[in-house]
Amino acid sequence: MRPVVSETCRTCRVLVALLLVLCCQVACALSARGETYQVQLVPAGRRETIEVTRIEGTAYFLLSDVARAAVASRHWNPVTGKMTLAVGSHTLAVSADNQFVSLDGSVRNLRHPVLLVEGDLWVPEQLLHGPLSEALNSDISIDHALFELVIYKLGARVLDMSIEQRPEGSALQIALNDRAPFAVRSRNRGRIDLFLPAATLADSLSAVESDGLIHSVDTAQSEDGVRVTVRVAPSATSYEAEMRSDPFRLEVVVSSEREESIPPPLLRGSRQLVGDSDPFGALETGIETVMIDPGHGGTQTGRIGPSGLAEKDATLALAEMTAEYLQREGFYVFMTRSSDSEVPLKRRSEIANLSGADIFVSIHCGSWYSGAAGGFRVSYYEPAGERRYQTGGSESGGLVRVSAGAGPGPAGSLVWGSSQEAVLEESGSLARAIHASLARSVDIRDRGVGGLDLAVLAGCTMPAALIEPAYISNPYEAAMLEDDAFLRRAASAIATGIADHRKAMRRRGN
Amino acid sequence: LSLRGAKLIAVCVGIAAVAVIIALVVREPARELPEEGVVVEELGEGVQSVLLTFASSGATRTIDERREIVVPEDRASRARKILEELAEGPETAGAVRTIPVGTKISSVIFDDTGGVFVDFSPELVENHPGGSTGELFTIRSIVRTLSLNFPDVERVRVLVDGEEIETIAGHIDASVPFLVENYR
Repeated sequence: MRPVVSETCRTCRVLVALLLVLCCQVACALSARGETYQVQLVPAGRRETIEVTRIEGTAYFLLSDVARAAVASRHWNPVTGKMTLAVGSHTLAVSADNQFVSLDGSVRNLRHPVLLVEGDLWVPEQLLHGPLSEALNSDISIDHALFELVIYKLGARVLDMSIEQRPEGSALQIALNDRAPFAVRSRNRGRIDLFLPAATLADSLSAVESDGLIHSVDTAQSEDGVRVTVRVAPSATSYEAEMRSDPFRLEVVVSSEREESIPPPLLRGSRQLVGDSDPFGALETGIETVMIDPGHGGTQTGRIGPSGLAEKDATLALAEMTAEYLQREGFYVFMTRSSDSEVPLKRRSEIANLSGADIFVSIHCGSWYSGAAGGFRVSYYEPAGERRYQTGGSESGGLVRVSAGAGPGPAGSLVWGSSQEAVLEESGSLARAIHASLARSVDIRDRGVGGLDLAVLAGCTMPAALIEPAYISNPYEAAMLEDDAFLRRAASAIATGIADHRKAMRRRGN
Repeated sequence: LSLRGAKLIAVCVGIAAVAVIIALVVREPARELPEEGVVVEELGEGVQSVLLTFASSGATRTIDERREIVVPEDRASRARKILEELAEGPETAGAVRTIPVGTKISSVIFDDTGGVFVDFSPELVENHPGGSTGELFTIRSIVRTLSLNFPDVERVRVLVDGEEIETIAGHIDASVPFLVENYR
């Protein structure tokens, strides 16, 4: 009989111990919630908060916050219990209670397991320093005393450059270690400028010899990225720039065949070298890159006009033309979408901030219940809703957690949702410059320029404006939105307005 | 002997119960709408003169319309009735509707700090014509109508199907309460 007793006792003791541990863990996990760290992304200057807790002495980070900070999309598989993050071109998979994570299919071991607490996944600090840092191609530093997490985004690395002769022309190949965003501009014949934001040059980079249509290639490293200047033969008439993979490389093909029209200057694609008598020098002001945001997209069609024209298509068409005119004004142009794809509102400002754009312009259409309303309008951000701080975590760290969309944080730090508040004045002058230019060249009703609490602009760190060039609900103006001549006039006016703003800023000495 | 085992099991169960209680007490309370102002059945009837804010047909200004309607005494029911009248559209010539066709008001809840929550049916978003001006007039007409008829209202929070929304039609931030002073 005796052995049976002690066995029952032992079982009970084990149970009691387990329960006690469970109690402590639950209480600890719950009471520690609310502690937050500020996340910084260098050099993009993004500020966010990230929730942190301590479990058995190890710092654990809330995975959803980590994903947001890393600009990663998440996919949860409830069957396998696996969360997959798409970080740039890498895939990072984690699952609850598991010490193994997979990066692009290869397994990495962690000292502490990923935990599931109250339906949220928490990851140990080691995951940030190891697999995440690798996927982001960044250094991540965590300062527990300052409650700060800094992601030093390294961006892509330019490894090598070479020129290759092909039947269609001369091809410059810029070898990279990863896919990278890039912009191209050409303001006068004879020169093509490339800009790779956040990229760095490898030390071993050797000079490129002149070959075929390409006369010289110069590179320059600056704080915000790499600039490549390509000088081409006078006989060169068009070029095509495209990011290719296996291995990653940016390919610029220069040819001497004339193209019929100027294709839209997007992140990729071909365009014609533009003849211009203007001397093309380095710009004196910091305003160099513009992020154009064509409103709506995908299932978010926006308004469907009386003729069946969808707002998402009208905005994309105008954005593409505006990009082309801006390029001629010497701007690097990026777009938040270049096809009929769905981009969430907050993601749009995030894309602009990450690219380090100097100006953000969102293009929409006016719309009303009836066909009676019409005209053009330019808006800038002006908060009109109630924003107040939510306090929390003051006992654990004295840091005030600020709710999404809140005002400037307590330590002068700006929170994601209200980054725009720091540049309201310049956004106002940008909007007024675009409005004045549109007023000069568009002969429909002038609905003015003014402030609105616009969600798409709230998170932008750079001066921003939202343009509605005409009413898609108005039959007369909807027809104009399908008319190439009107679109060109509006696009050219928007580009002129942005260039006027640049001039004004230059005069002010900014 | 088996009694001792049973005792220990009882202790285990006791500790488990305590753990559950701790968990329930420590956990942050779920965010809920304030209960004060739960829609009450009509308590009485009376005709009241109310003001409804619509927009001009060219979307250039707001137009206030006075209407005599039978309203319930209860504050929340009265606000709901007034917003239902607003959603019906205007009777004034030259004025146009500001709430999309088919939109129902599911509930109106006042808190005791000058805030009011209005829960709309999904038609508010689905049937909205869009445009920043279209959105602005929808918000202004809701906010102004509430503030004209309930002068102590300071903030208006718009919900759809009981959920927070980012925007009504993709432009103006609706994830925070609209301040009456900015949208009147």
